[in-house]
Amino acid sequence: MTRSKLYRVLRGAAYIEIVSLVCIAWSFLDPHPIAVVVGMVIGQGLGAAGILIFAIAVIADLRRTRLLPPSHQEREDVGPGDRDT
Amino acid sequence: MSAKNATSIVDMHPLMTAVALVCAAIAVATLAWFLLWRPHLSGELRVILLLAFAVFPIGATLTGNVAGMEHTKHREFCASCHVMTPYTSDSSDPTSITLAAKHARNESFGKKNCYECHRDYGMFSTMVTKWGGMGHVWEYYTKFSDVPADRAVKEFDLYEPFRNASCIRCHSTEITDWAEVADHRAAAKLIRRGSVSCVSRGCHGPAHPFSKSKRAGPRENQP
Repeated sequence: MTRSKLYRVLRGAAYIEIVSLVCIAWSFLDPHPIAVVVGMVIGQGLGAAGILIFAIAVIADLRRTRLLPPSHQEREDVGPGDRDT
Repeated sequence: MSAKNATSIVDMHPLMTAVALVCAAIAVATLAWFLLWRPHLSGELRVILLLAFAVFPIGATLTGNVAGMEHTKHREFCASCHVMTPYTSDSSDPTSITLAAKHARNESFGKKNCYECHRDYGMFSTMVTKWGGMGHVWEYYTKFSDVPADRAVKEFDLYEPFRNASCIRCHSTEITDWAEVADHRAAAKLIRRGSVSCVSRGCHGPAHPFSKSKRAGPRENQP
């Protein structure tokens, strides 16, 4: 994943996370049952998605900076002449 | 539906609410800063994003879950749907002699008497009960939100007969005091099997002033 793509992924995850946190905060402040359901289901679902996207971005970033070994597909894509010596 | 008398989570659980809202606010502020300022992806930013994406949102979610789970067990939350106010008003009435009102006056049930009697059983009882509660929210908003309470109480009913296991959880049928009652002795097997309801009008019911008798199913017709 290139640096610019990584940044775009993080920005997307940030938008999702903000919506999630607003839903959760709404469930605290509004006594209606629908607010509690939205906060605990949709809010937490979006929050989990945001964290998952962030985790994927972190792993991709660590692979890009060689702190983690490349994935199997990336190893296959690199031919013998392309490997670092 | 009126929320005038409803109590929000912040009123019931101020400390957990404060922790959750502070965590959420810090996370939102940090993420908004990241989106607006577009800082360079440095090592420090990575740590900040870890806090904003994981640490603070998880803190808000965990405390929110605990507070939300507790809040939805309170009778006041049940009363936030107007069709439930006749039931909750009866529960809160200190002069009522219905089972619901009597149990509400018991400290073990108190303001959670609706949940304590109507919750499900087993290891995943809380999750099953909460899932069923979401079904109630769906039913309310699709069928009963515009129906006056006095008409609604005549229309809706439990999905299935009230299980004696809810009563037997506290009022054991294995102790000698219970067996000393002649009616209990005579119907012991039927009571334990659920064929005779503890909350039937001929026994200890009605649980509520508007409770409806369930017709006996095929199992209850067996000898």
